[in-house]
Amino acid sequence: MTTQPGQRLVFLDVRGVQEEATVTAVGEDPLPVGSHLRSRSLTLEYVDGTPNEVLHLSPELGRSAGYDALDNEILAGLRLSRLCGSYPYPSCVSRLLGYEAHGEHPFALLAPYRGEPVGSTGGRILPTEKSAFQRSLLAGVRWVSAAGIAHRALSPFNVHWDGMSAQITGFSDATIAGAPRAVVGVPPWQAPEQRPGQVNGAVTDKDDVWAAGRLIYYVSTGRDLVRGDQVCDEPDLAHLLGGIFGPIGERPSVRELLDRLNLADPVPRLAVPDTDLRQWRAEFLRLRACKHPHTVDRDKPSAPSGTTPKPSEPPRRRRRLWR
Amino acid sequence: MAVTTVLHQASYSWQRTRSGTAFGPVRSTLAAPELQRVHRRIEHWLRTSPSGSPGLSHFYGNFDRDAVFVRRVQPRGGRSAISHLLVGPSALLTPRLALELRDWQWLPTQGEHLAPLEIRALDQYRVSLDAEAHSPEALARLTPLLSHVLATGEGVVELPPSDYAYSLLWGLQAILDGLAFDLSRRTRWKLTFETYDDRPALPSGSGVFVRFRTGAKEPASHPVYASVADQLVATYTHRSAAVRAGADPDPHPSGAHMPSPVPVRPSPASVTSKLITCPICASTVDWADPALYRYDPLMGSYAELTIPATASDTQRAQMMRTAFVRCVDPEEPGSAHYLPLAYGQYGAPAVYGFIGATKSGKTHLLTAMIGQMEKHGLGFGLRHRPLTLAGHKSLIDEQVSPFLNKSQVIEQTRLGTVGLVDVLLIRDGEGEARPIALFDVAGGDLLEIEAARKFLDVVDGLIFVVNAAELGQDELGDRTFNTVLELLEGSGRLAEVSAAVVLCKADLLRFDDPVTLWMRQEDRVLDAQASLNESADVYAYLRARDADAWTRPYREGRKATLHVASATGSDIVVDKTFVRGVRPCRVLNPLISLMAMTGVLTSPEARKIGI
Ligand SMILES: [Zn+2]
Repeated sequence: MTTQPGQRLVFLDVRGVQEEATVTAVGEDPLPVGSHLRSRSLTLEYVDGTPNEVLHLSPELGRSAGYDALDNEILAGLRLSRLCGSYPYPSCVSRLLGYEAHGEHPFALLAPYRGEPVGSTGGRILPTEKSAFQRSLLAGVRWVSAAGIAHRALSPFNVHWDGMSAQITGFSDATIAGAPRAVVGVPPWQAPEQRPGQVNGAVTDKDDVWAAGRLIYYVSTGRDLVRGDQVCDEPDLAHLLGGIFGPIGERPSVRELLDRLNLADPVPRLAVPDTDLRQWRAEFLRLRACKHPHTVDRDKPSAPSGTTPKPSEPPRRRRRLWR
Repeated sequence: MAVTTVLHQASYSWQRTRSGTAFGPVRSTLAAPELQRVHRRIEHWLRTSPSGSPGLSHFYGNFDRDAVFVRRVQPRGGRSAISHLLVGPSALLTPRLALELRDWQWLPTQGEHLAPLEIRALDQYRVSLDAEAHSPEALARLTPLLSHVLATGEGVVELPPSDYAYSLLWGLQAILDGLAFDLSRRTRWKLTFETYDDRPALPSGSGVFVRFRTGAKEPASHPVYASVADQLVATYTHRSAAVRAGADPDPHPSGAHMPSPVPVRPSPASVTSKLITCPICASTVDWADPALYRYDPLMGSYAELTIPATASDTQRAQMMRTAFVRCVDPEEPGSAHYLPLAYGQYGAPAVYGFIGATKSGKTHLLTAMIGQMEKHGLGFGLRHRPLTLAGHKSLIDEQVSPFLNKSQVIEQTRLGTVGLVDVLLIRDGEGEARPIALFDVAGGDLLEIEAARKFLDVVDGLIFVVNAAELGQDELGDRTFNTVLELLEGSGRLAEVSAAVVLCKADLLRFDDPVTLWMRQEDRVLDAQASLNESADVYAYLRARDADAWTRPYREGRKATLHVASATGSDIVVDKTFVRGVRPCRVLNPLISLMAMTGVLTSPEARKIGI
């Protein structure tokens, strides 16, 4: 479906409130954000008259992969917004403004990306900017992992640079931590566990660290990383990137990388656990313990031992005997 | 009086005492006076003679209202003897349960302490002996044994030690428990037994005591009781086909299964009758050589099917494939209903019912399940094949294919309150094949209590389908659930019917925690830990959203799982078509879980599902 001026869009904002806006201008396709989504820049006029520049993402027609890609964008946007709560939204990750996920023509509206992809001419990073790039990229990866998701396709084409800081965009391959791993991303930015024939296990918060490290190496040296031990030849990077390209078990977390740069965790400690769900999960486990007592974890304090029944009746008179 | 559901245990071995050594209790969950009382009663049976067999043997006895089951080994001579006792009310610790637990080495601990055992905790260790008991060798030995048991009444029957001891005891308890009735005492005989002994001495006791003892003689059939025994064994052989193995270890306690007396003494060769419980009216239908019917689509009715004697084998097979068996509800003699011949040809199927309000997405879920099974199989070594070939083909052509390939909305075809959708033969690796039958149960206003009641008397597992779009506000759905649960409760079957609750159309909630995670997990897996985690998450989610009625099957049933699934992947319909295409998501896991919970799948992992 083509989006054109005059068209009315109905969608939900990130808190689930329904919004309406009219398209007043449609820009060129700013960038291909992934193989399965189309993107356009729109000017929207909200009901109260405020204009807004947004990025409009929609699935390529007739492609189920497009629906999935859009879902991933929405999922990432929603989880980042929920994590952020009332705090200022972090500039180091793209921002979902609204979405329509269930209709015939689903779409997502994002705040326009900042800067240009670091892989493009416009996004080139000067030597003096390297450290700002590292800091803001890792901050972005940290926000992503704190939101319980993995981007899975970080590359010079979806990490932007505006001369001041990096921004992670293009979440069309993102998924939730704990989902089964799959072949995702493109070489040479593809972590080993995402390559054909090597996929196994579930997505963790370390899956993005490999590509982030690789990107830092590329941006800092201008060279491709062919072997993991090349890092040792770069005194500036050896400390920061140590352990990233070895076995996944020894891969540092993004928190550790931030530590190596002496940076505080950019994610405020405001994550409120869903007490509601917790409470009901506990009820489930209580019920289970009653129904199937042998399932009670042996390490946990067991149920009060008063469950041993006392003989409740005096022995009845014996019935007929054999002999 | 509170009904206890707890069994006690004790372990015995040789210990040093001040006056020497003694074979005594080491640990026990019984209070000391109770343990002493039990000890006095069973002292004789705690072990075989010191020079006796090193192997495993069991004793099961009844004392007053308690039953005691003893597991005995002495791997390296008399002094290495170890015995384990299970003690509990005879109503709980039945001979059947004892035999099922024969391989279990009890004494799980809670920390350092021996724990009383909740009866349900033992479920995963129960292993039926049905198959062994039906081997020709065991059946041949069962008749003489039974004839002596019938002749002796309450008393001792001795046989020489036998490889078939457990199989014989299994068959015997099934017959004494279900078929044979002591008219003079108006009661059922209570079986007690000892699987091996090498001592002639025997203390007194009550009930029927069957003992495998060295030196005893192999009994020939008792001259007076041979024919009754023969008939009972024959009936047991038939009926076994109608009892679903493994799924519900205790046969439904009622006189309903009492067969009418067998008029003539059947010769073993003619024992071909197969009794199947009708899922529509709960009456028993003999599937051995039944009268056949065929459906005449022009007339819209069934007509008797006579296969001409001149028909070739191929013709005959073709006609049989589309044949039906007629059943008449004894409570409504005027009306008949028909089941595909294949329904009962492979033994009684595990019967599954799909419960949900009309708009719950139940029909689409069922269609998607069958479609995915057809397309991808069930996974992990499971094989399936449709048994009602004609019915299956039309199901594929008329429902599955338009749904999956053309994304068409499927209209529910109503076949009465309880409609048979498909019958499939499931084989787990090289294990025994088991048929399963899927039924669509009309929900909401279409739920007819009387028909549902009869079906629920036969059902093994239920898939409760709930609509994510109506979370917490689905009065019709709630009513359907509550009615079904109350009917099950009324018939005392609530605990024995397994349930899978499926949060269907979960695509509508796919950005919600914890639905996201589960919607992105694989389908077609059998993983007890993952199943437990998903169940806990879905339970919590439903409770948090006030969808309390939907969690009742978990709260009240014994084995239950909860799932997220989407039959279509999206819910938007234009011109009776899902415009975004149909992409089923995680539709087979609920069915696989149900097969695990009802004993169709028997791997160790499968036994942990729903617990
Ligand atoms: Zn019937």
